[in-house]
Amino acid sequence: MRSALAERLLVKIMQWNSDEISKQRPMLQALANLKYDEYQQFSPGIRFMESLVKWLGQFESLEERHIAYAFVMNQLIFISSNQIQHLVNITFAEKINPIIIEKTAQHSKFSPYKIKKIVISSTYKFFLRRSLFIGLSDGSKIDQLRRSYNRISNEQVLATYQVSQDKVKDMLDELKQSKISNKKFNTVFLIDDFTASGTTYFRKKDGIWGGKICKFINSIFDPKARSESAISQLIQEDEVLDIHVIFYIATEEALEKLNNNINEYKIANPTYRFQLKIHSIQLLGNDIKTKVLAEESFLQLIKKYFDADIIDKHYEMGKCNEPYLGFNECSLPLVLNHNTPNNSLPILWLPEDKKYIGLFPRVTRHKDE
Amino acid sequence: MDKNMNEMRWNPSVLIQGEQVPLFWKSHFEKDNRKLLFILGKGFDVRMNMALKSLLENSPNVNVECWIIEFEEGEGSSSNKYLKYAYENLDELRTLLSGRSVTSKPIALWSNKTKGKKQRIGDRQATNLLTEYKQISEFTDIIIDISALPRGVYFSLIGRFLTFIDLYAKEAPPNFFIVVSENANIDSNIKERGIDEDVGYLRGFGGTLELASETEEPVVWFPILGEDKLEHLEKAHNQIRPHEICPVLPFPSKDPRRSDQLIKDYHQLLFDRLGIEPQNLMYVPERNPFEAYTRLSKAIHNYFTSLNSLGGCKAVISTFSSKLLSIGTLLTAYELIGKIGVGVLNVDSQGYEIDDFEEMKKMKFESELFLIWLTGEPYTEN
Repeated sequence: MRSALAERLLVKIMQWNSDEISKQRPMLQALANLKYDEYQQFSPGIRFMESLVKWLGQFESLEERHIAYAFVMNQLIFISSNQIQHLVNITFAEKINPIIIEKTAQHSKFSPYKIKKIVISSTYKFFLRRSLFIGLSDGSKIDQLRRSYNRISNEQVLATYQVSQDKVKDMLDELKQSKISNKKFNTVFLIDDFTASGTTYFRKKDGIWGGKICKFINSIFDPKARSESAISQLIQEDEVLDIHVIFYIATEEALEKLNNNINEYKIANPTYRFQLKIHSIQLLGNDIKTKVLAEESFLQLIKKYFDADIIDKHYEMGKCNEPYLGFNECSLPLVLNHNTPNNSLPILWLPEDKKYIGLFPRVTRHKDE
Repeated sequence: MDKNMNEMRWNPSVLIQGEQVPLFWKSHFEKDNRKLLFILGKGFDVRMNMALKSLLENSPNVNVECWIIEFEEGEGSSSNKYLKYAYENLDELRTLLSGRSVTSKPIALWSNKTKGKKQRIGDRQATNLLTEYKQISEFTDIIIDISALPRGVYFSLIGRFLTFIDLYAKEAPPNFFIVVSENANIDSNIKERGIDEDVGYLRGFGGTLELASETEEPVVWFPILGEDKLEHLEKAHNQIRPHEICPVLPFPSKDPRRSDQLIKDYHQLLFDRLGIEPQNLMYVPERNPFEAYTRLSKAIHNYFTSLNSLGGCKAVISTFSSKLLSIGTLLTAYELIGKIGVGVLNVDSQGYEIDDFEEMKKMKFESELFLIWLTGEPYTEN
């Protein structure tokens, strides 16, 4: 469909007068050009304007369409590829470097504010080179992170913690040859793009711990998992392992839950010698969910236009009393340019084969949250 | 990152914020050999004394002298109706500093009318507060609190202090800090009223831009976008007449929708009237002036290199956003002004209106202190 035709249809669906048309159309066009058209899961030939027409057209009454439209205009958070790239590019300066500086200051007994003295010191180089950077998914854009700061070597970066013996040997050889340290790695940065509920990363289900961060820790410290994984050979055994998890985007709720789970896990495993901190670059505060839940008329709408067909055993792993609020009832109005998270409101992401369709239809990957 | 970018003066840098600030006051100013000059503006803003109060609570024995900049808004300014609040703040300040030295530094924001027109002179008057280095040479530490100072005043004042420190104390520079009490809700409660008829480059931040229209060098404009500044943006654009525009949006931000909301506010100006390409949009973190400085410096440097065959370029930065981010633009301009022509074009307002003063007072305690450390101990190698 040509955009001009989509715009004419939109005007008809929304029954806008000429004043409204002149106000809404350029704004929609700007947002579409700038951000929304880049959504990667739009079907071929469909862009934002066409999707908006289809989406609004499925609501029965004009009032419902206005409620839905107002929600998109006032609450939708769309993170574009440019924004993600920006988050990756500032991660070293915003999070990683302050951590290395603080470690150096503590070790050298320098004031943490003597940054010039710190960054030219051999201790700073020592701590930076003994840091391992591991991506927890493709979303970590770990290569881009490495390129954002030229003092990170290729031989301290991994796209996953499932590594081969050969790779481990190469990395340890390079570390020795760097002449910075004879020791192995003692700091790990685990990087990923997004968490809303934390479930994918650290969870307890039926008394069993699971999730990506949990699996990583087990692969270092749990005797059975350790014997099956090469990653533990990269870690200096006689030092406390310092782990930092960095999410480019995270909800306040997820960070709280992850911290609680990890503390409980640490108490249950006192012999595991690690300390762990979780960080996010763009925090999504609890007020975002509160604002969504305060819109009574919108809640009625999403309850009515919900397809229970999306509920499967993975969806049921989170809270599921009000499934129209998204996975684990996260109630997020969030769209990421490559896919809409299932923690977002289903009215935004319902796939094309369901009874109703989302504005930014999602491609399902069950391993997601 | 190229070689030049590796040599950035404030990368890495020291930014102390929130709960870390009281801890810093305690650890830094309780040492015997410190002598502090604390400079702040007399204004109606409820945040005027917050930083000083926090300092004195956490370091009660600090050896401090204070300069209070008392700026005259001029007749007809809508801010004059809030003078009583400015005097309340001044009374609180004198109580806080009882027994210590407080020097009043009056400046006028406007000249007297000549030929029926008055001119903004606040930036020039601010630079004239420091005419000899010996005025500040005895101090080990200098803090300028910009929380109640207008942009036109604090840009030129900070620029002058940096210049004097670089010129006269290169070997043993004092610790020079900017402090700002940040509170987006209070900012949005203070509305700017009436904008200047004449806009120009700030004193000390003009570069060679005043003559730019007469040269062939392309001019690239970096407006840092903030809320309710449509008229300011139009005015600045008419003055600069840039060849290229890179609007700068705040992200990451406390409200992750903020940059989208700004696009909604300004889409007609930016895309329909000025024809800006989407790829020209830039993002800088809302709460980190040093990262804003890094991003802006890199962008300006990239343009300068790309346009080398045309003799490079000139860059203009205009801040229509928070005071915190404005420090990032100040640092960028200060560092590049001698290397690439970079100017700061400010569009000031003729006064302020406050939605609800009592409401603003209640919001005061949600403010967060940011301490931006510019010279001294962090940047020396020993």
